[in-house]
Amino acid sequence: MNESLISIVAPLEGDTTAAVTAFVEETVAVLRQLVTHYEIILVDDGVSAGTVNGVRALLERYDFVRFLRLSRHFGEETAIAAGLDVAIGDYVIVMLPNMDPPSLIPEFFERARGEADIVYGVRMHRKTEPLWYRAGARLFYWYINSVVKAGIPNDSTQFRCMSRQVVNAITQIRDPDQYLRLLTSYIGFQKEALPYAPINRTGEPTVRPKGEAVNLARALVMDHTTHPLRTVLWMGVVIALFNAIVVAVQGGELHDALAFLVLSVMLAFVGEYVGGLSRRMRDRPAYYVREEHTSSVLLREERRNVVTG
Amino acid sequence: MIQLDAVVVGGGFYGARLALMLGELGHRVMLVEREAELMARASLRNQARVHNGYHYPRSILTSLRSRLNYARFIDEYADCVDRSFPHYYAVGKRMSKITAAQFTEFCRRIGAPLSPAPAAVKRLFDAARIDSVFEVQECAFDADLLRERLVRELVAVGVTVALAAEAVRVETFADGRAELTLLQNGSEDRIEAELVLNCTYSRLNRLLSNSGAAPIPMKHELTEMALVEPPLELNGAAVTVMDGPFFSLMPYPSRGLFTLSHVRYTPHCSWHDAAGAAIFDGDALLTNRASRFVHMTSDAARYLPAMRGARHIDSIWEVKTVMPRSEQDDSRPILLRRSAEHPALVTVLGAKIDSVYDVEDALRKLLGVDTPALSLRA
Repeated sequence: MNESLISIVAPLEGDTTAAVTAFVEETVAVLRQLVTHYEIILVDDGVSAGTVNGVRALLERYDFVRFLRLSRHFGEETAIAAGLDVAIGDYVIVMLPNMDPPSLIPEFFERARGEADIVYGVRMHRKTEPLWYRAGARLFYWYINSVVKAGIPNDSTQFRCMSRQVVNAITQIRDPDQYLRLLTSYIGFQKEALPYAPINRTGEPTVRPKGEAVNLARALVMDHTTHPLRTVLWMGVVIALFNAIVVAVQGGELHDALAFLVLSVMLAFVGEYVGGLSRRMRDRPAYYVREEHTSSVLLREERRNVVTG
Repeated sequence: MIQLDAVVVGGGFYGARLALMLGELGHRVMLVEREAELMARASLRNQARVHNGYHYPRSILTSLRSRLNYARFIDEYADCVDRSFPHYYAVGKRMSKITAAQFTEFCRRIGAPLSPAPAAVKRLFDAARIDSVFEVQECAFDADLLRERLVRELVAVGVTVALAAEAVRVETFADGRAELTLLQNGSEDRIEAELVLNCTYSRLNRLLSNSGAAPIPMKHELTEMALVEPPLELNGAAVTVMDGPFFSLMPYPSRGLFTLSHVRYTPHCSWHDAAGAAIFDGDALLTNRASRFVHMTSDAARYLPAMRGARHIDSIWEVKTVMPRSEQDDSRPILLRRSAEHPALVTVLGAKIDSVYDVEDALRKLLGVDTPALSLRA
């Protein structure tokens, strides 16, 4: 039995009581075999009232469960950041209850105790996802890794185990947008990939809605690099030159329309970056905590089981 | 059948003080304690902190009362308090319900002494998580010395002390006097008295319910405080990180160690006494719990890295009882309530050791001690 303290950070959004309960049950069973001390931090990022009650019931059944309720829905990435801020473990493991199997916790932990400071999960396959989603993912990873070289591993998920040193490094970055996968790439340290097949507790489709997926891809790219900005600016210069030449040679109005289009595109990109800047300038907390609940187990399970009639 | 003026049930600090007060007024008083000696439970198993108001930034009234009682307590019990250590209050950055500026202003308003901590002390804290560190004036009491002194005073005044004796129930005679059934050495005694004071803290409702009286809504917590050898870097200083899910490291003079308590980890579980339901016996939980020392230090070390060096010696376990409404606003009201079913039975509850003065004032008012007879009978 290892003496380390493991923290599990799990953001909850659309999760059902059944899924969260199964997740906590399995996780507790695994952790009890693995380490002497642990905690499970469930971050409420906008779950239903039913699930809130479900989690409260879990607090009365299992020790060392914490329920951090954010003041509103802030998004998965911010919910994870909030969990990392309050986690006390020597090792912190981030998991999405619906898709990450607790049975893999020992493997993540063992590898993190070895050479790696960060062990991150990678999807073995995306077979269950629709074609458009897979194509989009391919395009995204090609761009972010081959073109701008951000170093977000292909098909990496949120499932990851980090040492205390890594968690301290990440939580020191106070950015309104806390994209764990970007921050992980930024801070460096020794990383190791762990391929796995995600599960699906609810049976609902696991792909993000189109708008959200596109927005996440945009944010991940633009938070990391100014490459798109430079690309469109240079594109503008080239097109303007081309335009000037064409007009000089033969005159005409079609080219003006083309130039206007390019200008609009440039403005859109510049706007995105200026927007990002202004968001950072506001310098306000990335999230607010409404309340925190912790376990209150009156009768431990062992004793519960022997109580009769 | 023994006939007395008053019986005080519960030989903690409050019970002993109130028995002493009644004895000094010339009444025949018996003090009943379930344990083998006085002050063996919650009066012993706590932070040993004499509050000087700093702890209650969300309740100015509690803080002001604390300030008054603090001066009185450390004056009266100068021989039982330890004032030899510096005490630092650190204000947390995230999750704190107060900022350093607000805390400074709050201390100014209640007139509590506050100065910036020395630079060498500030450096011990993680600047990313701690807003600011202050030096305050707050001391600890030695429960053993307090007990010895109270025993001497009780003997001098002639209060009868019954140890290892359990008050079972209270009944009422037709004339309004109370009859208390006392279980001692396996046999039952009956005591007639004009007044029975219920000072049993976490067991208040047990006596009430055994006596057929309605329970008072109370919240109970099973609490653990780790007894530690503090890290050497702290040089014997007390540290309190506030105001939220943080921790305190306080000298515990009666054992020559420090208590480490944590807002999140010290309460292991909680329950409420509900009217109509059986009263849950919290004492059953006091044994065989796994310590949360590792959780306490793992979190504390995030704010004060030296806490990794704290050495766990032992833990003290106790049932802590509060009135549910005082949880949110920091107020620490005292309770002094006459039973509707038994007019001679008065239930007493306080939260801090120095609130005893408020309880004494309230009891004097209730009894009208200027009259020679000790009777609540109309």
